Amino acid sequence: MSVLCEISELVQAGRMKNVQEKVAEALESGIAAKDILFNGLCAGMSAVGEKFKNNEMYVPEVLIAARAMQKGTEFLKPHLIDEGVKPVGKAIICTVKGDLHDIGKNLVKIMFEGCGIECIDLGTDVDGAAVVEAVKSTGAQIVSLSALLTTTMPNQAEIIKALCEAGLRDKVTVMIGGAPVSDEYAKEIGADIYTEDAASCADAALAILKGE
Amino acid sequence: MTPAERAVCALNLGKPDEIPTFELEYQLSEEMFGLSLKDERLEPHNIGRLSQKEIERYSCDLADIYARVFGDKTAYDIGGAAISGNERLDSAPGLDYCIIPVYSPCWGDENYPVTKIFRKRLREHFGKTRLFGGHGDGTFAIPSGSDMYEFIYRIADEPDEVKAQAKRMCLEAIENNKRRHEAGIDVALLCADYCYNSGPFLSPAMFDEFITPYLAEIIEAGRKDGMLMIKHTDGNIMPIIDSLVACRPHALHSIDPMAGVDIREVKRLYGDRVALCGNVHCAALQTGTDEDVINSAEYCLKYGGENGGYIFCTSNVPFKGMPPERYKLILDIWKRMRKY
Repeated sequence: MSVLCEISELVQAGRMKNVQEKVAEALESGIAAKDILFNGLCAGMSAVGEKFKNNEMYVPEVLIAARAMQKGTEFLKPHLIDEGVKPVGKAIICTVKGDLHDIGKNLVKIMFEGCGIECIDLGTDVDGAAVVEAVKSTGAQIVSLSALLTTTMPNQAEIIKALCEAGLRDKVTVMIGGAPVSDEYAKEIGADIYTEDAASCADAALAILKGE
Repeated sequence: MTPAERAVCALNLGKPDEIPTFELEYQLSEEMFGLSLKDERLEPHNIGRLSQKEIERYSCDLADIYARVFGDKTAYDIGGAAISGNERLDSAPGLDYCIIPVYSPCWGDENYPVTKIFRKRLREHFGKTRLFGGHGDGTFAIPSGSDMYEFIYRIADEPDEVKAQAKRMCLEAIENNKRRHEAGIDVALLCADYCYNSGPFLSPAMFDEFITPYLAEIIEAGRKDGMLMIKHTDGNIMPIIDSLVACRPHALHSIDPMAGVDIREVKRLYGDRVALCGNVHCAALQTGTDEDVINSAEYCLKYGGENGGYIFCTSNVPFKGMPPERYKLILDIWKRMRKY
């Protein structure tokens, strides 16, 4: 098994100490940091996302894997800077106003970062003004909005309205998700994409950023 | 049969004369009855300011409100003159719940000044025609916020310590349930949520390691003491339902249609081992059409109620913000279809 495959396997198993050791070993053997990131660490998280989507892995296993990936990425960071490696794109993520649930949002963040997408996490209970400001200041191409409650899902529409009013609607792809949300609802409020889980959300975001 | 007898019958997989109803919590009392089920003056942080007479009066008033909201005409007529005169209430029938959810955190604390008065008055209203329910879980629910990371990393890094904590929580719940039962709580409502719409938070293997043994112990102890044990969790329970049923609760609550759980299928697979409560679509109640709501309620009564072993209720609770007329709509359907 190649060292990159081993890194991928270790990420999936959540073995953070071993991931860091293996990343060091890969660097010493002359593999580019970019390859280690995308073909080792991200490949591992991508497999995790796929298994999560198919109910073969559960939230704790995903978060433990993400912790392992994080450790590897931290170790790799100075080498990535040296090589001038840039993220695939930028995404703003948040849970909408009135809603304090964050697990869905956090899973999306993990999956995004696992694909090499830089995340600007605005947290929970976020209104349209904050999202507009973040889009302006970061130039993010994607806005991903989570709502877990039937009472807060209308606030996804409010944020889209705020983006329209700020003249930013055409500059970003708006993705929505959350337990009570549906494809039909996404169309109704003018969102671009609805996905039913975090891994599908990352797949769709990656496709957008790659222009597929 | 009384509502209590119907509940006992259904929870023991029998077929009562009518399908009973209740809710784990009821948050629409102000919207539907103009009455609050909580009196701030009687809460621990305020009670020190009241005289004994005031405590007695407010405790009785609160019990009277419970009777009018949760009972039927028969129940609140017992209090008669003392509680009449609220036009809005007099024109609205009570909910006629078979299990009345008691919110008082001090129900099992004999020394709390409200407890005995409130309980006595409630019994005067209802006698044994209703059961009383109180929260009684002691297992790990899905953690929220940063607690989730801490919990998950502990599971990965120090599983034995997590199990020791689970055991401590379990023993504490058993002790609390015992005390509440002695004070008159008949039904333990075990409300730790385990599942999202997509499935369980913990993998089935983790669930069997960190939840199942402790849940089984709490239920077994409650059963031994004569309590009725209802296990609630939101979400898609199907990957862990075998474990839940193996813990021997009298009933599973929620049977969450928003997570794709179909009461007809659960009844077919497990209806001979566990009673079911719920399945009326809460999202439809909030945002669906009247037709969606009617279809959901009729489906539950038809397939959940088949051959008994079912208590009609929403898949969560009638929460603040739910249109009261929608909740009233499902109660109307229940009244139309409840007779066996």
